[in-house]
Amino acid sequence: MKIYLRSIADLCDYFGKAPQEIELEEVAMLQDLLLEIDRRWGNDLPTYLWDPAKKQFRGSVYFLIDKEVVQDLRTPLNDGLQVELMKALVGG
Amino acid sequence: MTNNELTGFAGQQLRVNLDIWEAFAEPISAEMTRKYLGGAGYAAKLLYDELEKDTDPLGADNIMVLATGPLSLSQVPGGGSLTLCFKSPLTDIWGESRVGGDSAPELKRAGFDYVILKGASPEPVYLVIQNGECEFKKAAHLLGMPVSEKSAAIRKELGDKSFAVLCIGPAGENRVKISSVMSDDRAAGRCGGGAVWGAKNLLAIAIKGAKNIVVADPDRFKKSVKNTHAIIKKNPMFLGLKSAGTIGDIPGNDDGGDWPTKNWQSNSWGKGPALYDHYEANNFIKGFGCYKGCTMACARWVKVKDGKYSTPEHGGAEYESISCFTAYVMNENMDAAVHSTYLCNEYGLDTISTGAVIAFAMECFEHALWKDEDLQGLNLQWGNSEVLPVLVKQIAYREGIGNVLAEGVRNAAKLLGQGSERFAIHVKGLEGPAHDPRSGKALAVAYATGNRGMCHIHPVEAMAWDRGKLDWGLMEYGLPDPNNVERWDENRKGSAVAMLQNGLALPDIVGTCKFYMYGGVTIDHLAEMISALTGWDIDGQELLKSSERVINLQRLFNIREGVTAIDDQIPERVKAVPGFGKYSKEEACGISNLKDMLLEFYQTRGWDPVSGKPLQSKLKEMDLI
Repeated sequence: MKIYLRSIADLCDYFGKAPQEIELEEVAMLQDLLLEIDRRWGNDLPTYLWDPAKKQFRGSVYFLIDKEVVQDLRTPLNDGLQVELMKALVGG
Repeated sequence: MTNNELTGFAGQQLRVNLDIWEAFAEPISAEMTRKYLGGAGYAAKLLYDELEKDTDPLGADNIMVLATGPLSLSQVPGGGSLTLCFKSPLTDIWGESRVGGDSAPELKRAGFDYVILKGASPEPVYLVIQNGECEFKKAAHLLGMPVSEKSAAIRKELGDKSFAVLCIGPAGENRVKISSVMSDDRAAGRCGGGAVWGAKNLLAIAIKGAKNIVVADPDRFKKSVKNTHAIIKKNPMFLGLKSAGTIGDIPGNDDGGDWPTKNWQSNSWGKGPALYDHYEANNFIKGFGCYKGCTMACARWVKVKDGKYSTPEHGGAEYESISCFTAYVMNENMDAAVHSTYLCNEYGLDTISTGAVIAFAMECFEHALWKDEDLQGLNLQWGNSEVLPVLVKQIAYREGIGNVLAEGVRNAAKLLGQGSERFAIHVKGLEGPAHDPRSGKALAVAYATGNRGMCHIHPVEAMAWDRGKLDWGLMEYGLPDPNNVERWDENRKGSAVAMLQNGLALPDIVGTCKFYMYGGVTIDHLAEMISALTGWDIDGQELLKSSERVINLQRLFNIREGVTAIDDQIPERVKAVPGFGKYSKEEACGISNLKDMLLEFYQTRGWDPVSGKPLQSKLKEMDLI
């Protein structure tokens, strides 16, 4: 299946402004998206954003589906779904 | 006597005459309340009416208002918020400083929405406000105590640890113009409120109450509060602040060009990630909420375990504080930064302004502007971490060059002369915080036009919209979609900033923590909670209009003190392409046409672009004449 990864704000510097089409297995979860992110972008992401050993984001980077944060990596993904990726601005 | 026309408020304000140790309660004005809502809004009306032009900020005639808002209630998301309003001794214009903690909810429970301080006590004094009464207590024995010791001593004297205590440290006692009023480890840091208290011989206020606020529609209020809490729990900003604290943005802001470095010579450094990693591994203990009922818990409990910067466990290591003691001064030692900001809190100094004046001092040292006898052997080389705690202490006690730096960066440059003004980074006398308009141009307009100057509270939404792509639910009220805005563009930024200011001044007017708006509380949520609380039928549009009215009134306050459009500027250095770092080759990063952005802003605001005054038509529209 295909899903679309849309990054917001500063993350566009690394993932591009346009939504990225990502091909996954027919049955896939958020965890599988992380593996694909590691494969395509893992080497280019700065270490403050990405932990290459754990293959996961660092700090306050969140996946959003329908504008709500999804933290359970077992969340199933559907064909055509848009997943947003956002780094929370937390500075005072 | 309580104002019975108002539901949802304590209904009284406490007037304190420190000259003669007299305090009395009076009903709050129902008309002013509906028009200005509360917090910095009600205080703006009061100060505009009762302060005369050219009042000496450190004289007995200056007035300070401690203001709650209608939503300063511990069950409300962000309800632990008190705003202090006064004429600033640092800037000589509108002074406003917000602090978290329990003092605002306790003040309401004690029976008051506002405390209005005037006069100067003939001897050191502290106030005890409890259940509708105000007691004056001699305080000479508290002089010189650092903040934690003073707060503990007062609670011990009162035999009750549950008092909310606001106090100043030695810096405020010494009338340091960058001193703060502290609520334990939370600070009303900016604009020199600590010096105003020091000049009034007021060392502390202890507050406790047991009354409940009467709610107009309890079921609706409970439901609206519950709904708002439920919504923010799924918001990325709420979760980000909860998991990382404000300091969590250091690596990203460094990477994104939003981290003023070496006294604003650059907007990035590249050392942010390593500094943050050290903090996370060595200094961080746990997160906590600064007031009872806070679910966000963005505050950080930190320490430096051992070594020359050994520091006890304390609440601190905020983004702004640490940035001003690392990147600003090129300090690569996180332990030194944590220690120095802890000292600032203990002495009662604003961490932002203190870091900024130290950066100024270092640049003056680089250019050999200090005399040897002034320095007394101090090595102010960029990045010298050892000198940071030394300078913090000198500023707090006005020792050595600390006596010059204690005046704030604008005044320090005047005293030092020799062209040092070019190293003094401020707007209207307030030192710049740790966000850089070269990362998002809207921030340049916000810094230039903020009523209290180059602050980190009111303008920062411009950066968060421009670069962070936040909208706070304001798009339905006319804010352009941030996702259609390029952060380095200068077009359409001026008009957007006016809307952003109107929307994001609201937390300090209604009495909530602004981070909760970053975390998903919208204008509509605020309107619903206020309507249920007060019985008013108020909507987002009316809130925005009230906020715009308040911004205009604060502007009138500043105009009366001599501010014109000429003062709506940012330092040349802050407009220039960075001298080094990730963005030094990025021409688009520089700010090329602030003038046009400002013209657009004035037009949207309805302000004269030369005098800077709100036009008569705007004043009529705002019901200010």
